[in-house]
Amino acid sequence: MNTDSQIDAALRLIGRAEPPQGLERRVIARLEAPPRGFTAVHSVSAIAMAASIAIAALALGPLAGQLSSHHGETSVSPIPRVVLPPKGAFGAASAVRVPSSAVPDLSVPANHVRGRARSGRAKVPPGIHVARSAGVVVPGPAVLGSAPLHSRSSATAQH
Amino acid sequence: MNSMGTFEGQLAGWFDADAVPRTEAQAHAAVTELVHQYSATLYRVAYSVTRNAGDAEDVVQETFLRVLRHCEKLNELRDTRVWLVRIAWNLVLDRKRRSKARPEAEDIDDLVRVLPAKDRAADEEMIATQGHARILRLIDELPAKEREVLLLSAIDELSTVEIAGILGTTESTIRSRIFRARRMLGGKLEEKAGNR
Repeated sequence: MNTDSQIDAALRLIGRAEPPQGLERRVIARLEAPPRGFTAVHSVSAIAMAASIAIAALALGPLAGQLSSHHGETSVSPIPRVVLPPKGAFGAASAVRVPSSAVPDLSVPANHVRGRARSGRAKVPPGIHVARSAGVVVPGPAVLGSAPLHSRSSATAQH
Repeated sequence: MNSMGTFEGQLAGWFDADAVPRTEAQAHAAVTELVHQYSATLYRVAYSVTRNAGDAEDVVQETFLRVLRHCEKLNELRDTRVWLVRIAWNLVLDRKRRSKARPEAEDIDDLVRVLPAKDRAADEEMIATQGHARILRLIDELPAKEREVLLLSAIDELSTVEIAGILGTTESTIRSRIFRARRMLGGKLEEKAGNR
């Protein structure tokens, strides 16, 4: 079978396709059926639906207004709300804690922080004068023991 | 803008200007007569593209619904068959374009069903059908102009002049496109046979 006859056979297949039984009857039935457009029944139902929506809107109007005004107050209130935590409990992260008594200002200027300089030496904030004692600083009795240093040295001398 | 895509565009040039409009009942009777006369041809035209019985039937129904919507102009028609095929052809091409996104399934059972009954064994029938399905797949790979002309030329009822009228071109163009389409298809077939 050469290619031309193969092509002819395939084209015959679609060219002589038999329509399914009852095609004409179904097409005519579809033509005789009422159009599926916007009929009088559709119009009446659409008007009824629109009316019911309007009535519902009128009935719920005042309630909706109240809800919206409450919502508006909370959202645009210029005064920040202060929430005190309950006694003996932690407050929320956003809560503001109001101290009951005055609190001393312990803040240190940002550029005068305590710590270490780049050289590694301790820094002392300006304005704080530490009186330097002459000689060597001797550790206190808590470090060396209960006996005072001078009594120990005298005891060593006696030996 | 191409007016061929719209129904009004399809109507242009197909009517006699001095024709007398008929009543709705008369128009309805005329459309029913057209259904009896041309539904099989329109079904074949639609089936050549869809290869699906249900889709082809939908196209036939839609074609006659459109005709009924413009039934007042029905008696003005010069060439009813070409006009009807043209409407069905545009509808089926639209449908094909819309369904391009979804993968097409090869419906062998549908092909077997439409195959004209012959005195052949069932296995021979199946082999023949599979061969036809392969060729139809190759037709789908042809360029649009060649493919469309080849498919319409397969419809027995349509002459070359009528195909030219449906596609809005000349008879010589149709002949050259059919020749080109068959040559391309033959080349594809030989190429496939050589690859085996």
